[in-house]
Formats: sequence, structure tokens, C-alpha cells
Amino acid sequence: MDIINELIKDNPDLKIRKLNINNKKIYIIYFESLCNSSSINEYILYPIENNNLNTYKKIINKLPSSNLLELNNKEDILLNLYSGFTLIYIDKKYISFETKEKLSSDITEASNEKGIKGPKDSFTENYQTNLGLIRKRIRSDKLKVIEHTLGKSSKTKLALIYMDNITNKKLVNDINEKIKKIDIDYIPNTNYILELISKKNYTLPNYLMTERPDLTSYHLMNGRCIILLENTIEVLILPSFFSDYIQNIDDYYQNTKNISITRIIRLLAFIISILTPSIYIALTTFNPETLPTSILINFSIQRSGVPFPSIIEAIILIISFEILREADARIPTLVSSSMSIVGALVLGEAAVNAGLISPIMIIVIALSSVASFLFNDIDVVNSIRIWKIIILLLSSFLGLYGLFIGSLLFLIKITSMSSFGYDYTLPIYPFSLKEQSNNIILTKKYKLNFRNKFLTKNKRR
Amino acid sequence: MKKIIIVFFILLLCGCSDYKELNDLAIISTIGIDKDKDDYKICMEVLNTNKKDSKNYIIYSKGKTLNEAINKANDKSDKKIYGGHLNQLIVSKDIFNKKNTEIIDSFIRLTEVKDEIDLFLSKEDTACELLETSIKSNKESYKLLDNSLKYSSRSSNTNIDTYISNTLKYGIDPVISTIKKDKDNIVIDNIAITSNGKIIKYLNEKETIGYNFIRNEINNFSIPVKYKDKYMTIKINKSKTTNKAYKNKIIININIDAYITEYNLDLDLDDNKTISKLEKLTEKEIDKYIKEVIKLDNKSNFLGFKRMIYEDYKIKTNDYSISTNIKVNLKRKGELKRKI
Repeated sequence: MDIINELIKDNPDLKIRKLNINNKKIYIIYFESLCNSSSINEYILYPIENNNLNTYKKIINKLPSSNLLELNNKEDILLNLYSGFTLIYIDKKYISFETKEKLSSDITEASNEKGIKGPKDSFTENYQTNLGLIRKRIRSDKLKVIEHTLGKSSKTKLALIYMDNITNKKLVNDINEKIKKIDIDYIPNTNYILELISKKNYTLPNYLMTERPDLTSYHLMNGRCIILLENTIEVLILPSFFSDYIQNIDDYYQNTKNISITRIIRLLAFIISILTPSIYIALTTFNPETLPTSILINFSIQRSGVPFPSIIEAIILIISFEILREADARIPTLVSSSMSIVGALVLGEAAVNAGLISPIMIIVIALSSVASFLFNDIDVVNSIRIWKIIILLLSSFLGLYGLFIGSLLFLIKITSMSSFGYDYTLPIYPFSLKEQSNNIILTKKYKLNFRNKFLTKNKRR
Repeated sequence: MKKIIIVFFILLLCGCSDYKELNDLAIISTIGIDKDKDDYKICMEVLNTNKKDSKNYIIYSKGKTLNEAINKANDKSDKKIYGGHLNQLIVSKDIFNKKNTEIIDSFIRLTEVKDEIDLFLSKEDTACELLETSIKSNKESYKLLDNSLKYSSRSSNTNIDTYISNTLKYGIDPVISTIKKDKDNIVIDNIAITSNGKIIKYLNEKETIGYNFIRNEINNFSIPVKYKDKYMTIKINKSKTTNKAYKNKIIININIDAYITEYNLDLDLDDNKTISKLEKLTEKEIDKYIKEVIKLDNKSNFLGFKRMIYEDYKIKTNDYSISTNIKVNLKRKGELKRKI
């Protein structure tokens, strides 16, 4: 009892209940904040008093519990207490019972990744629930889970999940070794893991972070590794490629033939969102001879009376749009609709009427910003923003040359990126003709019969 | 970090050399060139880029040389004169005969200006008068005669680029399209043919059509064909001309797909013989146009026959014969339109 007496000083929510049954003292110790008191009453106190269980053996044998452990050392005792177990101290021995209070949200609809068809459930903050959501989908003995406990103070659970017959063993070992080396105090979210185990930090994400169990299971069955962390709703999928942002899990739930066009539109949107502002600036301020005369007159009429140079105008608009977006993400939903009205009116109507900003620039920036929202991962959207600004600045100095220099820089950057040993631009570089059937276009045959040949040797489904 | 600083300074040091804001530019679409005693008198059509008044306007200028005149015009405009979208050049007849090489030369030396500027000759009025009429008649145009050039077979347009190359090549002389005032409007007129840099003749309508048949530039053209005092109209759908030189003999091959669009003759169209008869008739009709223009070949090399012989055999000769080979194919397939 020395351990407990020491503990009780600074922990007001630690409760100790003394029972006296047939002149024998039994201590029941638990954290009020972590445990469910009704299950303590029902499954511990009630049976002990009713059946006069006053020895260690009796309690071990008679108490109705699925999760019961004998504890010996101090570390285990503390860990169990902090994990929401109830301890029984009898005959100078500790027994622990699971009486966890549910401290996470229910399984709800995925809020960040919306889909039109397909299952709607999403991961929760509960580790076991998340694992269950995956096991529910893949009922196979080949599904393997390696568990780690990370964080010196937080003691957060982490699971590395893979398919034994599909996933490349080298990849699993590689990631597992890196996870073992992690030395950190506290892990708040999944992206900590990523930044701890990968050396380079790219602007474009070379990982997938998702809250959808169906997407997770799909990638698991295609030979990727999953990292699942306690207390977060996001799951890491490794490795991942550029094409993963052009593709979407929804695609596989819809008519295969029509999806190719959707993917072409997504790719177009990516290019549009990165390049439109810089193309506009380069063409109008450096190379107006390349525009058809009718368009040039139109642009020129719209710009007449605007006091700023085009580049300043573009930067003002981009910044104010980003401010609006950031505000919209943080503001409570009650106020958000009124704010979007103010934003649209102030930025759109009033700025144009006041002659501060030309309408064509609003069209250009709005088009590029809206196009970037086709990608539901916020990291991709932010990365598009960075590249958009880099290429915009280059083309505002150098015109079309700057535009091409910037685009080349972008191409060089993404072709030199890698994700856990795999090239980021797979399957375009290194090129594979067969993998093109699930790249921008999707064929029915590939969808039903094949797995990505770069990821697994077990190619046929 | 070093790389970033280097890139940043490179950008700053070389930046903005060619920078211009759209609303600081006076975009010029047409330049008219006239004579004022010994000087050039030029007028430039500046496209309107203001929201309020929506009319293009003209800047006038004078100078000893063309470039001087254009330079002076900059002082008269509140915006920088920008010639990247210069589309047409109208030159008065008087000054063209005297100074055509100088005019063309100074335009190809301007880097801002593109090569494909349409070249027009004003036969009767001065170039500036034509430009003023054009601005009065249509408010928002930036091309004087774009559509009539594209769709007409009664005209042919030359740009500066082809003018220069035809002038420099052996055995071919450039032609220029002319424009004239027609009440309050500007219309395209017949072609002027040149020889040694001088205008020697204006073609009439028939000759112009014949010229376009030989140059393979026929489109959207209908021929009335007469047979026993009654007319039918043949619409040419597709016309392809291939000219070939065999030593001293030049053969003009013209293949034409055509439809009958108007028919008042008494012949039975179901009969195959009628069709071939009509084809023969049309061929004769087209041959008349071509004969008409070939007559002029001794005056100027504008049809380029000498060039064809020179390109294939490297012979410079004045002695050659021309024969034509016209084939008309009247199409009989058609759809019956249903009554609604």
C-alpha cells in the first residue's frame, strides 16, 4: 500500500474504498476520472459483499470479469491505474479489473473526407474501436498487428498493421525499426510519427492521413502499411504516391468508365490551381503579344483605373482569400455563414466597385483557390498554395520564362521525392504501362484483378 | 539557404526588364501611311481600353522617316504605344509606288511588331481617310476586314512576310489587296499586281477569281452557269489546285467538289449523262476565269510560274506554255428534309 499512499497526495481523483468482510480488509483503488463507477459497483463491490469473497483465491475465481490480471511490480500497477483499471489489494497482492469509462466520441460520419458513395463510418479516438473497424473489414489471419507503446509520459499505444501475404516485408521491418528508435515524451497526433520516422520534410505530403476505415482497408489489401495511434482519429498510410491524390476511394465505388474523366478533371484542377495566377501575370505583364487581341482588350478594359501593379493585386487577393479560409476553419459554425457573406461582398463586389481590384483578377484567384479544394487533404491544399506563390513570384519577375522555370522546379522536386523507398511519381516515373490502368484512367479488369506491382509481389487478387 | 539567396538575387538583378502593365499600353491595331509633301504622315488606330467612352481613336503624326513619326506619336498619347497587336497596314497608292521598300523595311526592323501584318493599298482615298471612316462605322472592331478576307473568294490578302519573300524570290511578284470607301463603310476591292516594286494593274473581279483558283485560295464560292438562256448555280464545296512544271510546260490541275444549289434548266437530273454534261459546262465556265488571268502573265510574274520552273529545274526561262486541267465532280448524295 506504500505506492498508493504516496500517490494519493497529489491526485484528488484517486479513490480508495476500504471494505471489511469477515474482519478482513480489502482495498479497492481506482481513478474516478478514468473508471466507470457503475461497473465497479456492479461487478466488484456487489459480488464481493454478497458472496463474502475475502481471500485472494476466491476473488480470482469468482469475480465476473473478462479482463483480470495479477500485478507484481510498481510500473505495471501505475500503468494499469492510469489506463482506467480498478485495483483490488488483498493479501498484499494487487489484482486489476477493467472498468474503463468511455472517454472518446462515438463512431460518426467522416467529417473531413466526404464521399458520395460508400460507407460513412470514420475512426474515433479510441484505439480498440479503430482496430475493430479494420478487423471488421478484413477477417483474415493474415492481418498482423505489431504493437508499440510510445511516449515516456503519455504511454500512447501505436499499432503497425500489415497483411502478412501481401505487404513487402522489407518495408514493414524498415518502418518497425524506425518506430522502435522513437524517443519522445508525448505524442499528440499521428503526423508526429511521420516526422519522427522520415528524415525529409516535403511540402507535398508523401503520406496519406485518413479518417476513413474503408480507405485504410483498401490500401492495406494493396500492400501498404498502416500506422494507428491511440487518441487520434487519423491513420497513416505508408508509402503513398502523387497519384493517390488524383485517386479517391470513392472512385472504386462508382462506374469504372466514368471515373477516368473525374480523374482527368482532378489532375486539371491541380494544374489550374498551381498555374492560373502565374499564367495570367506572365501573359499580361510580360508577353501580351501572345494573347488574342480581343482578350487583351477585355483584360485591359477591366484593369483600367486599378491603382496597383498586377502582382501586388494578385498577392493582396491571395492573402485575403487565405485569411478568409483560415477564419472559416476556426470560426464556430453559427457565425460562419454571416462571415462568408461579408467575405464575398467585401472581397468581391465592393473591391471591384471601388476600383481597387480588377474583376478578372478575382476570377483568376477564385478559380485557382476553388480548384485546390478538390483535394480533401489539407496538406495538399497548403502545398499547392506554396507552389502557387513561388511560381507566381518567379513569373512576375521573368514572365513566361519564370513560369517555365517554376514549373520545371516543381517537376524536378516531385520526381526527386520518395516515400519510404518508393519513387513518389510512380507509376509515371519509373514508367510502367500496366500500372497506367489504375493511374489517371481506371480499367475494370485492373480494378477487379490486380494489385500495384511496385508494392507487392502477390499481384493477383 | 545559400541557394535560395543566390536565386533571390539573380531574380532581383535581372527582374522586370520587359515589364509592362496592360492599362499603361495604347494598343494599336492599324497604321495608315500617307504622304505629306516629302514627309510621312501616319495615323494610328488606338484601341479603346477605357470603361466609359467606348470608341477607338486616332493618333496623327508626321516625320521624315517612319520610325521618327511613330516615335513622335508617343508624345501625343498618354499611354505607351504598343505595337504587339498591330494587325493592318494601310498604305496610300502614291507613297507605295515611291517608297514601298523603305516602309516594309522599317516594319520588319521593329522587334515589337509581328510579321503577319495584313498589307492594304488604298487606291482612291488617303489611308487616313479610310481609317477615319472605319472608326466612325464600327465602334469596337480591332480588325478592319477580318471576316471579308477570310470568307471571300473575290479578294486575296497579303501580309508583310509573304510580301517580302515574294519580292526577294526570283520569278514571282507580290500582289496587294486594295480597300476602298463605300459610303460609310470600308470594303475590300480587287487585287493590285506589281512588277519590280511598282503597281502596274488592278485586277477586275473575274481575274481575281481566276487568280484565287490558281493559288488554291477558293472558298465559299458560287458560279452561275448558263445553258440555253437559263441559269443554274453551282456551289463549290472543295477546290484543290496542284500546279506542276514539266520543263517548259506548266499544268494547272484543279479538282472541284461541288453541289447544285439552284436549278432552272430543263434537263433531267436523274440521267447520268445530264450530270456529266453539267460538269463539262461548269468546267468550261471555270476555265474562262483562268484564261482571263493567264493572259496577264506576260505583264507581271504574280502567278509565279517562272518560280515553279526555277524551283524544280533551276532554269531561268521566259519561254513556257500553260495548260489547264479542270475536273468538276458534282455531288449527288443528299438528304431529304422531313416536313415538320
